[in-house]
Amino acid sequence: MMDASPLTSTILFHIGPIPISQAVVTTWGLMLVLPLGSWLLTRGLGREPGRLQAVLETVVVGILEQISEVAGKSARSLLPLLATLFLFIATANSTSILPGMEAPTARIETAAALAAVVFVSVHFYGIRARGLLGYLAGFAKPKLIMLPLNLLSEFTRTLSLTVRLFGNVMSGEFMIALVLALAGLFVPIPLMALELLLGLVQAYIFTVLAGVFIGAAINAQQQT
Amino acid sequence: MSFDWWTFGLQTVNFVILVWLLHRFLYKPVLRFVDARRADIDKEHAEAKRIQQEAQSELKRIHTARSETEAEREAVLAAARTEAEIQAAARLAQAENDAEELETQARKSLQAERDAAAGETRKIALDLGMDVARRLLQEVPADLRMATWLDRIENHMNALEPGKRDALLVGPASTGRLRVIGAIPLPKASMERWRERLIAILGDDLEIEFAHDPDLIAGVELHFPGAILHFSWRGTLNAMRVEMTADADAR
Repeated sequence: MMDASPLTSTILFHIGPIPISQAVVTTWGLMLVLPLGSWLLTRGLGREPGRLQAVLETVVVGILEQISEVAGKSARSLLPLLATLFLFIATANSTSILPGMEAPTARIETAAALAAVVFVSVHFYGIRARGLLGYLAGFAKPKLIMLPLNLLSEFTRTLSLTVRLFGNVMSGEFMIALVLALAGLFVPIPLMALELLLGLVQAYIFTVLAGVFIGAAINAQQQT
Repeated sequence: MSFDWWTFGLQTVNFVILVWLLHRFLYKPVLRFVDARRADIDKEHAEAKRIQQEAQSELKRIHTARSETEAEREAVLAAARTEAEIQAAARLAQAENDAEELETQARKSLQAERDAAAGETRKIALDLGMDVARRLLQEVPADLRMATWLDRIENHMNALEPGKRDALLVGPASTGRLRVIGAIPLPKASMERWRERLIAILGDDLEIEFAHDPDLIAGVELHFPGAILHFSWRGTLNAMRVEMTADADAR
């Protein structure tokens, strides 16, 4: 439920000078649920997989294969980052359907934080794969004149990641809130189902784009 | 619209922590089992591949062994065939030789039997002839039968050179003794006539005695101290027998 502007964060409490917003609290909740659930699920893993383990392995291996398609051989090292991006965004987007909850990704700070992590990761993996000079030299390709545009694109695509995720999730929540306010309790249910689907799609798009950016940074020479 | 940098910073840190937590509690354990299973599968795949290669090697070895066995079989068959042909030829030649030898032996045996039968027939014929002659001679008077022989003895003695005739009378005891053996006993008168005529030929210092031997059939035998003169059919027939036997052997 949005009791204020969807463009501003709701501060729930302060820890010292630090304001703790609802998005942060929800994220903490997810940080508790996701690892705890993972721990519970992976506690009973064995050589002979049961139904639950098979589903778990299918999810992880499926994500890994998706990453392999965009990032090539580096998929294994990118798995923690990109799979967590997908799981976090997907579950964060889904929290909006719970009463009194708002998706952390509907706040621009969260979307920007995720995009910032991707931004840093792109350069980290690019430098690690190609070396500092080799990576920096990649910005001047194919021509030196492309350097300003390449540098600019690094920021604009981060911004586009932020705005795309934030805009889609926030607008979805806003629409559901409006319909709920105007039409009643059960009317927005189809919209909420659609929002769930859109949340998964947004998680997929964000993750794939992050994989493409990092993969391009790692394998720039093959791509150019 | 406002941007809360605290929230931005906390969310960034939160996300990084979440990456670590999920890596620790989700990806790592799941991937560990996936990798272990994949390693097992790879191991089994490698094992299967090794077994397949071994099977292929074994199959190849079996093919090679089969080819070698086939070649060896062909060689053995060819050798056996050649050996059989050689042995068949040898046995055929041996059989032909044996048959030829058997035929020769049969011919010889047949010829020998035929010769033996002919000899036996001749002997029987001679014996029959001697028997017939003996019977016929019994019809002839004794004087007449011996007289012919006395004339013949006279002619023979007269035809001898004097030296040879004298040699007849000289024996180991240097006595002039003559034994006349006839086929039949001579009557006394005939004995005297024989003695006279023999003394006339051989000299009067000759002592003559007479005896008889039916086996002579006809004629006499003169037993001188140094030799025996046969004037009998037995001697003639024996001579004929010898001639016929020699003739048969020669054939």
